[in-house]
Amino acid sequence: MRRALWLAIPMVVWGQAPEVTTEVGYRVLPSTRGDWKSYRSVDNLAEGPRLLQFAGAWTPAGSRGLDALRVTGSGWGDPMNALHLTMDKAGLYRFTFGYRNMAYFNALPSFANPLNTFSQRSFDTRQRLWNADLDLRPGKRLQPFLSLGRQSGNGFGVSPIVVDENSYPAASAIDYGYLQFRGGVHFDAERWRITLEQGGGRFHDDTALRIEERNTGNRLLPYFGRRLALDRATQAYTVTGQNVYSSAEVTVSPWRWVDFTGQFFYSQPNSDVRFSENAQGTLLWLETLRFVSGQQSLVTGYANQPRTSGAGSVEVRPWSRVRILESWQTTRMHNAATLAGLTTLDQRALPGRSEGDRLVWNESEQQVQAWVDVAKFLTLQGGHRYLWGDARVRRGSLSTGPAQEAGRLRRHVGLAGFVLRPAARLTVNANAEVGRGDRTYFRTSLQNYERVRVRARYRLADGWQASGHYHRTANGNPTPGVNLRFAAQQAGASVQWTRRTVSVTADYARSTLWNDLVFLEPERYAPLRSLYRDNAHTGALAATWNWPKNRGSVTVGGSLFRSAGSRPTRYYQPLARLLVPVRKQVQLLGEWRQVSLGQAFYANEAFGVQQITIGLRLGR
Amino acid sequence: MVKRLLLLGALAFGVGAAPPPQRDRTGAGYAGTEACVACHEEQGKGYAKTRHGALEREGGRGWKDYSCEACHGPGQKHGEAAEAKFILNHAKATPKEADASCLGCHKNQATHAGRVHGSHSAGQVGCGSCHGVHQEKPAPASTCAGCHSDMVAQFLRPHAHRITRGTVECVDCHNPHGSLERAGLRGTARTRNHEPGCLNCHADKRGPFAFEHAPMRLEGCGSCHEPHGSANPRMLNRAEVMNLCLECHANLPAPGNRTGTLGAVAPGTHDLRLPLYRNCTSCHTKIHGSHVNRDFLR
Repeated sequence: MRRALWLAIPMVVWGQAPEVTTEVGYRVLPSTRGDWKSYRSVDNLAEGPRLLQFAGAWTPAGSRGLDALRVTGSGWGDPMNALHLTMDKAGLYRFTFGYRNMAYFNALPSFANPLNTFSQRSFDTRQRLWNADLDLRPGKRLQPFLSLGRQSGNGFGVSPIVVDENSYPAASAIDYGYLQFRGGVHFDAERWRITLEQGGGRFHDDTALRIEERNTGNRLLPYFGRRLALDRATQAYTVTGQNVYSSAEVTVSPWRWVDFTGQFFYSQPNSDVRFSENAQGTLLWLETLRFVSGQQSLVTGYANQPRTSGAGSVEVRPWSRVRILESWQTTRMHNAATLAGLTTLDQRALPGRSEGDRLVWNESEQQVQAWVDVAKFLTLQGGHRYLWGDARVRRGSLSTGPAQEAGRLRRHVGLAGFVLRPAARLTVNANAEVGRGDRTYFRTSLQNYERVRVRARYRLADGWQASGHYHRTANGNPTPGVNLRFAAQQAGASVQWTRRTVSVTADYARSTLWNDLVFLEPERYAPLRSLYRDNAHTGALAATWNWPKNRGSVTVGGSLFRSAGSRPTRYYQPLARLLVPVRKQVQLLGEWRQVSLGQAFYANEAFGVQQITIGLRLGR
Repeated sequence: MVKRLLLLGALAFGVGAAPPPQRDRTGAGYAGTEACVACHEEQGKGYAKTRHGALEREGGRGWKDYSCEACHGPGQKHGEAAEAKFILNHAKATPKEADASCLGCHKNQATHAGRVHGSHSAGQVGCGSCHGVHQEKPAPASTCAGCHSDMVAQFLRPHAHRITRGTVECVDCHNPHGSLERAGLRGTARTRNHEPGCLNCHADKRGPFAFEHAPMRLEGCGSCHEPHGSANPRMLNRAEVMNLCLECHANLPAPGNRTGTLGAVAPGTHDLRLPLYRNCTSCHTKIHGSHVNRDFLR
């Protein structure tokens, strides 16, 4: 299944002439049932011509400036597409360029009210990312490097404008971007290496919300006899930000039995904000319980977030069978912000608003680990980790006491594990953590926890491989007033059988998750229990029969996910794929896929869509 | 300034521009590349196409004409006796032995800076488990899936990062060699720039915000989201937003309690019997952090 699932792009055979492999096709959706916006939120593949994937390589003979050029791409015409380009000349440079374009459509409410099928937090946006990296003189003693990249998102959506005692869904125009750059140099020697790097970025967010016709919002009942409504409203954000960072890394191996590493990072991002809001209609000014017909707000603000991190480690190998690692790291951050605002109600200005905020976070970790090769087939490991930290954040609106709350973290963790290789074809890898703490930042944080991971891999024979895994995490916080209990476990197996003409891959996993926590309902202080359960079966299968001489293939399989518990869900994706040789280096491509989603509690979000793609595969 | 830059440029391109000095390995038990390829023709052909082939082509690190033995060790005895026990076979060696061979050159690379902290290092997962030397391995996602089949299962849930579409790779978020971030999460643009890999794509959540939501900084995106896949449309780790929020903002313990968990007092007094108030992010839209409102309303 993995072969089909991961859509590994076939690399062409290395040669001196440019060689290209391309898949083009046309997709139709012959059957669409159920909720279309739910389908778009989950899968979103549509009809039309597509450049499904392509790969090419060129290795010019005797070129002074180029050893190889490779290009791969996928999904052009689909909601998600990518392009990767690599050029290199040994010892001179290595250049990579990547471009990704991802459509993000989501019109599903995060909590689906079955009576209300309209989400007030919807997105129909595109995220575009590109980056260009240039490494000069790779493999040499002094290696400069440069990088430039940009992430951006824009599109439309729905987001509420919240005015006292009511919220009104509004059309939003989303537009943000982050341009980043970095450069530095590696010094590479036989026994030491230093990397110095400096970089930064510029950020902007110009999101805007708008209501242009009467909107009565989510409050259905009158407030003191009057119906709250917005006739017109706008919100506009103009956020700009900058970030500068520096980093240094050093690795030293003075003798064969010891290594030292050290890292230092410093960054100082900041944001500059201008926000304006204009609302007209029947509004409530909650502070004075007064109805007004117009409200305007202007806010300017600035946030600054310097952060420093350092890490160091020493690895000692006093004997050939023993390895000891002592490591330490720390991070210190604080966020300081100031805001000034002005509000007018019915053309009359209120007293100016000025406020600030601070968040302080310091955290450190010290760890010692040892590995002992008891025998050639068995390695044991053990260790201890200690985490400690403190944080100060602003108190909640309804909290009493000082303006800031203080939290602390203190946890000891015991580490153990083994790697067992009883035969050349079998490896078993297991590790366990047992943590005990008496301070955590949040009620749901790790405190008293146990975590076990076991993985086994067995190559039965050439072409046969089986693997299995088991994970379990249990966490609890017995502090009176918290009483958190959490447990999650997963067990699974995978089998692969690969022959020249036939290959079969099958995966199955069974997972369970259970979380139990009590809280007091905010309005009436009545205890409520948050009991979350998720018991899931996940499976995937791909069986492929290859034509002789690798000229075509048939693949059948698919994936399924079926869960019970707090959000019972069924999600199936059966798949069949056919490659038929037409002539040399031309194959007919056919693919059928069905995507089905069903949910017991949110039946309105169910859908079933069939996809058929017909096309050609050109090249080897 | 210009002179300094020119000097730096000259240094960068000038230092070591001459071919690296080749060591004389005669009589040290080495057989030479020609002798190796005479028997291992297929491996030799594959190897020549990889980046490691530069050892032979360019004489990198002084291994010209002996590049096979740069990794496998001296092969003269192996060639004469034709016995496997006289040569280092990475596929059959223990991860520790195989790694020692690879890290002889690669230990100092920048991407490996967090390796000593990484789970692959702790779990004795050798370099050869992921990297091919004689031929390039397939795309990173399928390489990772070879061992992390448990993660494959999570990506098969309806709301997941679209790793099967070729636009997202495991290594966009994780540094398999290890990182100072939790779970080997890679820093932005491979810089380990104090930011989780999530912000590589979700730049609008970057901040800094005037009003930060503390869990996002202190415990990361994973405190509310299932990043690999979920049945929840926002990839939340609870079925209802209300539970996700109120498990922390629980009114328990009371203020001043010595346990001192942060944000324990709920920030509002809403009536949870109304569906609107069960979806907190309907109004608290800027829940990742707000530039202008302390209650994340705008």
